[in-house]
Amino acid sequence: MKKHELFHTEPDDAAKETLLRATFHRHATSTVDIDQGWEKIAPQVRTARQQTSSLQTAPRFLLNPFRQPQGEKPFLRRWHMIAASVVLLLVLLGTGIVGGPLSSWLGGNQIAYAQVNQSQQAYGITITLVEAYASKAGTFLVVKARENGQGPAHDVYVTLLYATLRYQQEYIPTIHRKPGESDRTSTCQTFRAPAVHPAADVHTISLTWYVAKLALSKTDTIKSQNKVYHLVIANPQGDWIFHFTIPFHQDDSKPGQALRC
Amino acid sequence: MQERDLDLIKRWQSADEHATHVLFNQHYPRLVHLAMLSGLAQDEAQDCAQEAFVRAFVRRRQLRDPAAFPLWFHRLFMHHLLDVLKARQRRGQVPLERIEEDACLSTQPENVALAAEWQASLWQQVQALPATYRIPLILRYYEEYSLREIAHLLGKREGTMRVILHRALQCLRLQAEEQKKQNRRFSGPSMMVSPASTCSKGE
Repeated sequence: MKKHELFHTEPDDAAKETLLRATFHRHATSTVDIDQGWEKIAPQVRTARQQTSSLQTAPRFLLNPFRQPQGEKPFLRRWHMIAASVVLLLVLLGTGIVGGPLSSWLGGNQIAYAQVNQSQQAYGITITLVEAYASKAGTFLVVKARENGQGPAHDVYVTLLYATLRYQQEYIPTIHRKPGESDRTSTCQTFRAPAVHPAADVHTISLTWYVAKLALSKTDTIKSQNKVYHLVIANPQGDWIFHFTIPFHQDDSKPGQALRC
Repeated sequence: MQERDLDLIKRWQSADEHATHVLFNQHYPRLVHLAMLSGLAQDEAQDCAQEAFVRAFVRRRQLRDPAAFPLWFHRLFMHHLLDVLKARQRRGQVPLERIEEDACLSTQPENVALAAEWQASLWQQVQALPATYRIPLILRYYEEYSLREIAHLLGKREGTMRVILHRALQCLRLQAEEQKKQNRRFSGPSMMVSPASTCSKGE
């Protein structure tokens, strides 16, 4: 094929397209520094997140309902809106649409717990969700994390760094820490998250727990000095995910009695 | 889309920082390459991709269906990229990379050098196209989007995109013919003349 005669006749579209693709891919090979990019935008992301949460936690109309609005809206109309909102709220409370989830812990259901015993493995590490327990005091997860084939006395230990709990559409952070922030342990750990709020007529709570990041830590003694080395691991195939269900119990077992490792 | 990807996007919408970081790692390199292919320098492309990601995060609540995230996000990025390209064109800026030539051609075997020369020539011709022709070409032959998806990304009808792509290929054909004529005026087939843009419509 002669040079520059590629587009001389129209029917040869396949060759044109092949050359176009090759040209584009040839010019898209430069290395992109992802970490540097994230460092630049992370402050803006955090600022945007704080601005969103401040708007969500302090809706304007509740800040000062007695404030005279600027502009032409009559004061009396604002009182009508507040009264209508209160009436609507009372109606919804009566039907259980609003406040339903709150009544779960106030009613007969006190405790939900179960032995889960689910394990996930990746990179030679096994994470086992042993037990789960939920009450109005919070949601508790008993977890074991260990390097495969090693006993509890081994000098390499696993620390969970970042995990999130999901209940229905709500995401609840359970762990957010850096390597070295936790106590060294190769046995069970108990993590506490804020309480979930199931409805009064619910008999079980379905939860999903995502473990996004963990650290392998090892203590080495060099010239009589102990140094701890951390290897942070995030599963490139996605988080370690645990789906489990815990049923309610009518007894009044204390939290510690249900949790064993 | 897999369930874990949907969960990741839902967590991103809930402002989970880790999920945001993972999504950024997944999409950022491709966006930078896309912006560079569209004619931006590397630092400009990085700024464009970062700004688009921040805008998407600020508007994350507008996404009603998490499964539509890839197209939604790319549409937002493409609009921002087009704005950047138009602003740069108004300022009359031309990135240095567009006028560089491959300096390694003379040391390669003849057939490899010839293929590289075709690509270098075609690259210059593509960069000489207006943005409204260049970007659909990149979306079609680099991102491998369908006509329908490209139309959705750019906010146009599918028939319109078909015409635009046809005209873009026609422009490249005309530029190649013009370059061939210009090269014949000078001695030796190895001399390359930068093609003047024959397709200026469409901004």
